[in-house]
Amino acid sequence: MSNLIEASGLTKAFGATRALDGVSFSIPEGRIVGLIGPNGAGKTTALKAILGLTRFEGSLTVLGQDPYRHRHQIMQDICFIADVAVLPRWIRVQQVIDFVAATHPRFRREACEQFLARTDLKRRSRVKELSKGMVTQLHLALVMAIDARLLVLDEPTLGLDILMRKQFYETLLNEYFDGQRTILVTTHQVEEVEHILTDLMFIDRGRIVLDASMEDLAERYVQLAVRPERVDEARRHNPISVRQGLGRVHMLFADAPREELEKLGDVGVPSVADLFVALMQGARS
Amino acid sequence: MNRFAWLVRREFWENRSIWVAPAIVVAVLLLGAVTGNIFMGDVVVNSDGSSLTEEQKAALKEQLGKVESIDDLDTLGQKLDETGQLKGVKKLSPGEALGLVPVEKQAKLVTVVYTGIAAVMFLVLGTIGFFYALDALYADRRDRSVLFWKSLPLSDTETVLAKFTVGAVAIPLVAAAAAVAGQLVVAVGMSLKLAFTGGSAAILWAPAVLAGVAGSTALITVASVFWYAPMVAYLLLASAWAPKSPFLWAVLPPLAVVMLEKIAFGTAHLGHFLSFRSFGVLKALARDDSNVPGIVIDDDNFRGQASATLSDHMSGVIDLMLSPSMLLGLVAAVALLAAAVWVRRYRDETI
Repeated sequence: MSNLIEASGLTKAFGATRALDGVSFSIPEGRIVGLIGPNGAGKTTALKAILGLTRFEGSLTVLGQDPYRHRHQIMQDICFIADVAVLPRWIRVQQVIDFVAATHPRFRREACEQFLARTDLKRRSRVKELSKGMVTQLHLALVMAIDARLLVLDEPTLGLDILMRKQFYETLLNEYFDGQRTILVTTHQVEEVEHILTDLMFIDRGRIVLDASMEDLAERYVQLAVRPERVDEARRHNPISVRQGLGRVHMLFADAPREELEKLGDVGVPSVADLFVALMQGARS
Repeated sequence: MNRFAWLVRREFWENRSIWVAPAIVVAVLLLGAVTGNIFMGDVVVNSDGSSLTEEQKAALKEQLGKVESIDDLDTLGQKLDETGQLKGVKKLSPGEALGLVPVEKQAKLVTVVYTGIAAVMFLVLGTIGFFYALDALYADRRDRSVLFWKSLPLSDTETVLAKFTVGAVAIPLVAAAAAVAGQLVVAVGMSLKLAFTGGSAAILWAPAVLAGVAGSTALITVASVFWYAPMVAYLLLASAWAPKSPFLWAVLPPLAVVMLEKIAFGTAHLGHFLSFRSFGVLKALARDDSNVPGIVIDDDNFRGQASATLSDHMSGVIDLMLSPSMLLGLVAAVALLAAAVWVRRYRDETI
């Protein structure tokens, strides 16, 4: 499958600080990629570059085009939700549907209506009268009705309660993702997205710390829960992180011999959150 | 409906004051027409039909000052006869008063009323247009909804042009429509009033008068569109550029240069230029020094302007439209618009 996004040596500096420092990655079609990183890591800058909203150095193609120069063309095939607050507050539900229907060639009104029928949204309501959750539902209804090749989500569930967040990702996975579309999502709440992702990218201080598919991760990284008396033995395999638990020590290994570790204790697949913490600490020390 | 029409429509959704404000003015005029008293009052003249002298007016004012309630007004006529200075005056109903005025002066009086209504509408919508353009490319950046608009496949050129079209063309057209609506309401209201007070309303509907007013309203509309195009483009640029407070970004820099010029050279060329660009159409209408036709319809007013006819005022506007300034302004408008599109497109938005 062809690559939807190709970045090489992508750099963006704000004065002395480099928000992106020679980043290279590629995202093939049909993937759900999580771009995870602490605040100020360069996530948003990377998304802005992909969406053609900011100038950059290095090379970047999105759908085969330079996004900065051909923003207008690529936006036919891209949708994005920056966060829940960006729908204009004055607009009515009906107005925003009519407007998107009239201006977006790939908008399917029936799909939008179908989705809205399951919500309590009233057509006459203005966005400012809606709760955050309802605004997200509306935005999601609009985006899901657009037949785009790339959907970019920047902290899409910020400020939502846990029920809404879960519902958001479930809807996205079950009703939007069809195996051909590509979704790029950034979030702080790693736990919520890890089950829907096919690929993971960790970014810190403008650099990619990890870029792997979820299958690769399960193969490469091992979590070991080991009794305290066998900790020294386990340490010989160079854990990338060690964490004291209840009666057990939790260790994370990269590219370690699985059979050896299995003799020492319980072996499992690390959670994305644990991996994230381990790799971030490793990258910074 | 094509995309551009939808972009324009969106502006009317967002900026309801564009049609609400003139609707309110028309509603106020309508209220006046229904209650019947605001357009024409009784007129006090000397028994022979001549206007009162300044002394007589002063005495009348003093007398009116003593009137404490509406009921007292009914007895005003008798009171007037009781005061020595005002002996020999009489009160005329609007119908009677109008009947005393020669037809050509009647036409003039009515024209002043009609153009006055148009002037009010253009003033109201001019103010709305000023703030509309200042806010047009700033409001969505302030509430970050710009990111939603930019997520749609709309070019920034389309967006800016749609906003320019609303500010420079649609708003003057709304003003013209509101002017016609207001003129109709007042014409009907005054006709009823005249009918009830024994006068003839024929002059209100005289084809020559209506044609003159329609022509001048159309001319003012077209002149506004072309004359204020660079102003709208400039305000849009400030709106696209300003990190915050587009009003200050639009107003302070030229103001600072005006003051610098004053301090450095003691001249006011830029100030004159800015005032010309801001009020050019009004100045042309007023033929510079003379008063802009107002809504005041007392006898003095129309005497004061007896020398200038409607076509005199309009010839000023036509001169303005044919002047090099007009053409230079349009060139400036294109440059400013291009700059506004560029800033809108390449300004680094914060996500």
